[in-house]
Amino acid sequence: MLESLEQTITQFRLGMEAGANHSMISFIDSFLAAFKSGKFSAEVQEVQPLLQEILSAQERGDYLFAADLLEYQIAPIIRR
Amino acid sequence: MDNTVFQTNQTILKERWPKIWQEMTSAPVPEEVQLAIDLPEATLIINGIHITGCCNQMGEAKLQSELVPEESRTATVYGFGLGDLQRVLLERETIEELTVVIMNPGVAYQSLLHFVHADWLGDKRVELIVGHETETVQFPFAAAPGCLKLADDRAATIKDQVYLELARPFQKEQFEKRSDELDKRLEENLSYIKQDGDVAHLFGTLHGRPAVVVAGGPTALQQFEWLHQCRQDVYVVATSTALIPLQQAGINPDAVIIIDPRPRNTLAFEKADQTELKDVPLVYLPTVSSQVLDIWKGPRVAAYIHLERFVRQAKQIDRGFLFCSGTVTHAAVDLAVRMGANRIYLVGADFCFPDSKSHMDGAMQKIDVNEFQGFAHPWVLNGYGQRVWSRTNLVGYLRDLELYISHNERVQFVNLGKDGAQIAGADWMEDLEDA
Repeated sequence: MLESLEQTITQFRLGMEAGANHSMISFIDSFLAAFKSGKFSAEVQEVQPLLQEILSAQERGDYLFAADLLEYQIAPIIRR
Repeated sequence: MDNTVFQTNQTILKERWPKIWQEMTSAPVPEEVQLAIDLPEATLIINGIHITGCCNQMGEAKLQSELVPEESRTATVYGFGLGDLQRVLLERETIEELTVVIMNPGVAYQSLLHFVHADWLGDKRVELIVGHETETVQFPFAAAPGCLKLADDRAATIKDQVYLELARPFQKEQFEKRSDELDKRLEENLSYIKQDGDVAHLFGTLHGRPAVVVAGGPTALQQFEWLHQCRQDVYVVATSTALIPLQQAGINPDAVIIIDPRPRNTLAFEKADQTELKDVPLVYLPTVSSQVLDIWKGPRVAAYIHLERFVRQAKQIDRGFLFCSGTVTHAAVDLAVRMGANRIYLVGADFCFPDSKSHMDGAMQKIDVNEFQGFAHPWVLNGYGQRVWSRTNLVGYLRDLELYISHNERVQFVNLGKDGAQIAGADWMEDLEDA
């Protein structure tokens, strides 16, 4: 999960949109799988609005903002 | 706004690049401009797009600069940004020339208003150009993604080319995932290649007769009445996606071409009226489904495209090559050119989603474009100068076709269907005197 997250962040910052969108799907899939297995249940209140904001940024093509949210808000939660 | 910062920026620009300065000051002001200073690091947010990240701009710039190899003496930066990417590259003593391409003069002007740029603008190694002055990506390069996203219409071609280059590593990775499967398919179809015709035998057979390439784009249906009227005067090459809608409109092509290996084409070909196609050659790439080849009752003609597996195969079984960088439309156009057409009409070569449709009604390969909602999509300009949303691969196909057209000056290309993408090098039908 962390690997796909870091890949997404790097690709967004480099402007590699196609790769980043693909990596983002991998990350979301991994995160949801982890959540379903019981991980991150304490953090879901924190993560859900962030993911909404990231998806919204992705939708409008605001990739550097999406990268910031992923790197400085989501990644620390995942690493905890 | 810090007037000193702006004045200093202005002085250098006016002195070194007066024409660019002029363009910047007369460029349209973006609709929404926000100077975001309540963030860890200040940045500009223009039309909802952050020009840079706002947490570690220098770290971000260093990452972006890694696309330029350390030993490079020249480099190009696509996007003005806030200047950090330029600074990081100029720190390298190896850099002798740095070209900075302004993707949107109006956006760059906003950056000049609020952020220091005089340091890097004053560096003698820097050359500044505007996006519409260049159509070819210069290597090595790095890009400011926020500025790419905000490129203006005039910089559309170079923007697309940069995006295509940035997408190459991902495309290569995706392509390699299917490589074993396609190698196996080629092996399975060897018996077909051996017994079937060679596309090279079709080359030169049109002797200057005009041809119509019918691709599967949504605007194709609008041209069928015209095609009915001139049917006897033109040679019609149909892509696999266009076959069923053409037949439903009572038009049978002179040749059909298929490259797509996916099984969905079998269904499409099963619906075709084979009695009308018994003399129509099917030009195929040998990685297509063998079921499609079995269904076809007319002559079959094998062709290769310039990929390693086919170059390798050609050493065993020689067949003609067609140009194709991913879409059957390319191969169809090249077929018509190689056959000797003097004018090629492009029908349904839309490379975008007019009316949010992927293909013309009746095409079996139609997809639900709503699947792509949720991702920011690239755009192309249609025949009316309007932006129409598209996909990265379609934009890539469009730009590659434009490059192909520029290399085939003896052929006139005519584009029908102004709701689809403008194709540089192709005249609009309405603009022809002898249409």
